[in-house]
Amino acid sequence: MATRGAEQGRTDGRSDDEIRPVRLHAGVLNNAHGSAYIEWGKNKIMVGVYGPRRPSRQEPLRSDRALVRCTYNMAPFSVSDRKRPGRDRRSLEISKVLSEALTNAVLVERFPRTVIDVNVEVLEADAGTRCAALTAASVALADAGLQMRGLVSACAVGVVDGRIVLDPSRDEDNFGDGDMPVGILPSSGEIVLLQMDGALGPDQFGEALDLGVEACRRIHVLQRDALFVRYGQERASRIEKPHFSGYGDMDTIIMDDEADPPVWGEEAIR
Amino acid sequence: MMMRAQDDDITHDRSSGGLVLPGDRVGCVGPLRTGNGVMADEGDLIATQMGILIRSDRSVHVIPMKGRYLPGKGDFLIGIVKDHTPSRWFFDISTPQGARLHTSDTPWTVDFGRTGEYMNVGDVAYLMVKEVDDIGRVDLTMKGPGLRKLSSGQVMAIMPSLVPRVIGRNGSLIAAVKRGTGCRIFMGKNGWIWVDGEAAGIETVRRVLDAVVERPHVGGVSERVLEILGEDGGA
Repeated sequence: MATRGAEQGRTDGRSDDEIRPVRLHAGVLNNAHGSAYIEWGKNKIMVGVYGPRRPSRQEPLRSDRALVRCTYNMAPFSVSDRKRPGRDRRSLEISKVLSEALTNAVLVERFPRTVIDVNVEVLEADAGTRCAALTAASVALADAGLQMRGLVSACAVGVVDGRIVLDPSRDEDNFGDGDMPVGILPSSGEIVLLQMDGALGPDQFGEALDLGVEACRRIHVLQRDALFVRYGQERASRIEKPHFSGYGDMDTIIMDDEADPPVWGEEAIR
Repeated sequence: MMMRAQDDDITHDRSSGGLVLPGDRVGCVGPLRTGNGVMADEGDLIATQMGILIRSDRSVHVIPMKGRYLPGKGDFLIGIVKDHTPSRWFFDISTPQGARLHTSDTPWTVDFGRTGEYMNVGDVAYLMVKEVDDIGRVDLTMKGPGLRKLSSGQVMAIMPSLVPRVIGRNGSLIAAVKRGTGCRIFMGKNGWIWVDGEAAGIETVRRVLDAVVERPHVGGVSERVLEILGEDGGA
């Protein structure tokens, strides 16, 4: 495959359609119902999921569905200047867009009058945290055994010197002309996150969206691998995944036929 | 090549016995009945939960790897009394919302205000889900064969998805455990298991459950269980 814009080069030497190295692990926390840890370039993000559960005190509830409440938080040491702890305008905005994106993925109508808490802790930030967080959060939700329409994959697209580049680095994010985080449900192709910061023309927008969607599909493979490695490792010999190994054979695990199919009845139960 | 059409990978039909993830295509809408963890989406059947895909000639469903118990009408389960009002008990059944049992759904004639004399906070009962309404409220019943308040004994918990593994085909595995340990065992579909008997027998049941929980999705569950029963032979 010809790499786009390789001759011009990017600040970190990537081609225009290259994503930073991504490492994704599912089920890393013991106390959360579901969890995931992602390293995306220099971003390091931990996500824990609790729920569905009853909220601990009187809080707004929906009688017909679950509420997905995402809390995005940056650690004080996540950036080079110490970040003042606590919520701010930016973290509230990201919490909101992540909640909305994940609400579209989870079958919330199956869990009425409950809440699903998604806690995102950014340990180290280096541009593109909301996409990395969304990617990890959907893996954590699947790890929690929640019923979902599909995993959510996300990746940002930026415009630097008039060129469309995938997954902008921090310099490209800070000094570029604009960026656009894209999050999709790869199984259905629906877009669940789409923001734009900066000015992109109609042509640029179309090109950027196509590039972002295609990147999300690559990220989706990593998400699948993370869950397969976590839960299929008894039979899968691929514990340590190389970055972007492509679409390898999905190892399946053999199930004992003892309980196939599950039997429910008074005789079986007593 | 990194990029491929979506159809090549993520949406091809998964075979029975393999791990599926939410969003995986597991068949076409048509003759197959859909069970737990599968839903129809524009002509396709897709998995909605991470788990083991079970496909037969007539149906397709997913045995979840993890996840909370979702109550269904007719489920037999173990509940623990959390609270009671003059005419109802409220049970913890390991769901997010809890469940309620009205005095009229018990085999007893309970006078108004006397619920606490029959069952109090912390008591355990073997119950059936009578109804789940549209907003997820669960009504229980204790009227039915085998349903009762459970005195003494203790409650152990496993993941709800593992209950069929402990029961085994046609109840063979749990029957072997009961025979081997001499314990009385009630399995709840919510993953709670009530056990009563000799201390050594209860300990063996605990080891059996640990053995199933430790490596539930690998073959040879029954062999491992029989091995444990053999070690503790005649306990």
